[in-house]
Amino acid sequence: MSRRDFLFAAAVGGGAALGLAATSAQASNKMSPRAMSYRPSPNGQQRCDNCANWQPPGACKLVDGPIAPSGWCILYHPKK
Amino acid sequence: MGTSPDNGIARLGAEPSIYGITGGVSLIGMTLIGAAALVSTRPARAVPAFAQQTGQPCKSCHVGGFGPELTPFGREFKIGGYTLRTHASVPIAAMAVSSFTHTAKDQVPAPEHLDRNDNLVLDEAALFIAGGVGKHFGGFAEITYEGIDRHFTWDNLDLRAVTTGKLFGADATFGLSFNNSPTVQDAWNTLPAWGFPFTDTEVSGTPGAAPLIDDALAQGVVGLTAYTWIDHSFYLEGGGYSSPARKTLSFLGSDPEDPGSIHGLAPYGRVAWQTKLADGTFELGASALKTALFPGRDRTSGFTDHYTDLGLDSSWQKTLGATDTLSANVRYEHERANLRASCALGLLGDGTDPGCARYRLDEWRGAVRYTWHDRLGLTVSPFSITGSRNVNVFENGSPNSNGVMGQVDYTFWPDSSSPLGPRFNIRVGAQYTAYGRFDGRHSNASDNNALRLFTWVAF
Repeated sequence: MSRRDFLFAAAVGGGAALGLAATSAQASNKMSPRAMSYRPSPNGQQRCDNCANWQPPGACKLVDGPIAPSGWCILYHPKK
Repeated sequence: MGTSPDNGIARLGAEPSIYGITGGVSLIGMTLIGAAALVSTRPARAVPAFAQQTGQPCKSCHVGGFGPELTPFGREFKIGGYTLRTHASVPIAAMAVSSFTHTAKDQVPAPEHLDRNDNLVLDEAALFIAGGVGKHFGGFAEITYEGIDRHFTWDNLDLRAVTTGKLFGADATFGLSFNNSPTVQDAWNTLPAWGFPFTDTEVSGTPGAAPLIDDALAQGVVGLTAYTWIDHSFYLEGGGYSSPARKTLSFLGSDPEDPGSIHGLAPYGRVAWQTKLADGTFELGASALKTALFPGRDRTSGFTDHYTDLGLDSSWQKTLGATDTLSANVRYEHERANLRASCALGLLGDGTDPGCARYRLDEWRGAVRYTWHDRLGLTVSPFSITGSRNVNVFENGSPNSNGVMGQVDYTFWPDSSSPLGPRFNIRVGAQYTAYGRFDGRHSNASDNNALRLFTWVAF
């Protein structure tokens, strides 16, 4: 097997294995509120409850723990 | 990135290199030149598979919406073992970098596969396997086609196992990284593997001298390091690197003799402290790598070449408004080396003085970047390498070089809004490197000045 064949096979095989494992994986670690500079108050018009990562009634897809609707962190980006 | 066939012991006495330095250059000189070459071809990395996995736009992890400069979130994601997941993802990504380079003076003779000047090249095309699996495992592996050298090679590898807990009453992340390049596992953009310039080319010449830690071992070693990240403030890491078998490296596309094989383990250590400062994120750190090498894997002298690299680094990053970022990265590296094996083997000097190749190097690199509206970036990056004179090691007897690189770049879709899909992004840019001194010489240093226009596509 040539190097080119090996690297290609490794890429496809590794990717497939990782893909199967990843799609069947449990929910993963969320970020620490402190590490994301979370605070319970808004940053101007930017609030957790109008962020794309907001999960009603009081959670976030990315940040761990209870999240205030009026909160804010550095991961804020608006819902589209 | 892989190693370049132009950077190794195997090329000793070969034809003039692409750096315009003739074949009479010493073995270690070539090795050091190789290290610099690897610096000059520092990889450009952005992994859209991670963006899909986290459900975040590129700009959440990367300053300016394109890799590799990490935001605080990007650092947490990396230290957390790439495990954060909000979406199913296809764990494959790809990127390609192409460029046009004009040097102030033609390179004579023309580098292999290239013209004397005004070269338009595919620098690299890379495929990534990247993702996190569950709460404890993640990583990426990269395979690269090097367009100038025209060959495939394994490239950066960083596989992690992590868990979380408490240490001294504070939240802590504990992790292991199996990787193939000292500093590739680092989460700050100060150390060699991920420092500025984030993309460069082998086309134009670069200074010959550089510390060993400046990527010279990349893809020529494997290492395991253990780390902890305490209270999102203190980072401690320690581990070691060794050399895979010659056949293994050859099979993976790396030159097994460049720069040689490590005797035993090369210990690596890293500490960093991160805190808020002036509404930004400030980091202060140190790193160390101690290496004993058999040059060219030749053990017959009974000696090894010793390198001790000690570094200090610092960074600061601040978001201004909703879309602008100011960042600054600086690194100082001090290297002491005693290449006894190379002297004893007659690769350096006349073979009678085992101390013929003692030297020190002091390297400074800094980069200040302003990113406007997550799209337009301006970077100014001064650099300086100084050290002791040694006619056996350095071209012209001196390692001294200095200069400044400026870069303007534009990223099209930092918010992952490309019409071709959220994984697709492009950065275009112009770099200009001006030298005040080059390999010890002021005169003609500006002959090496280079303008590079690049495109970098990731998907």
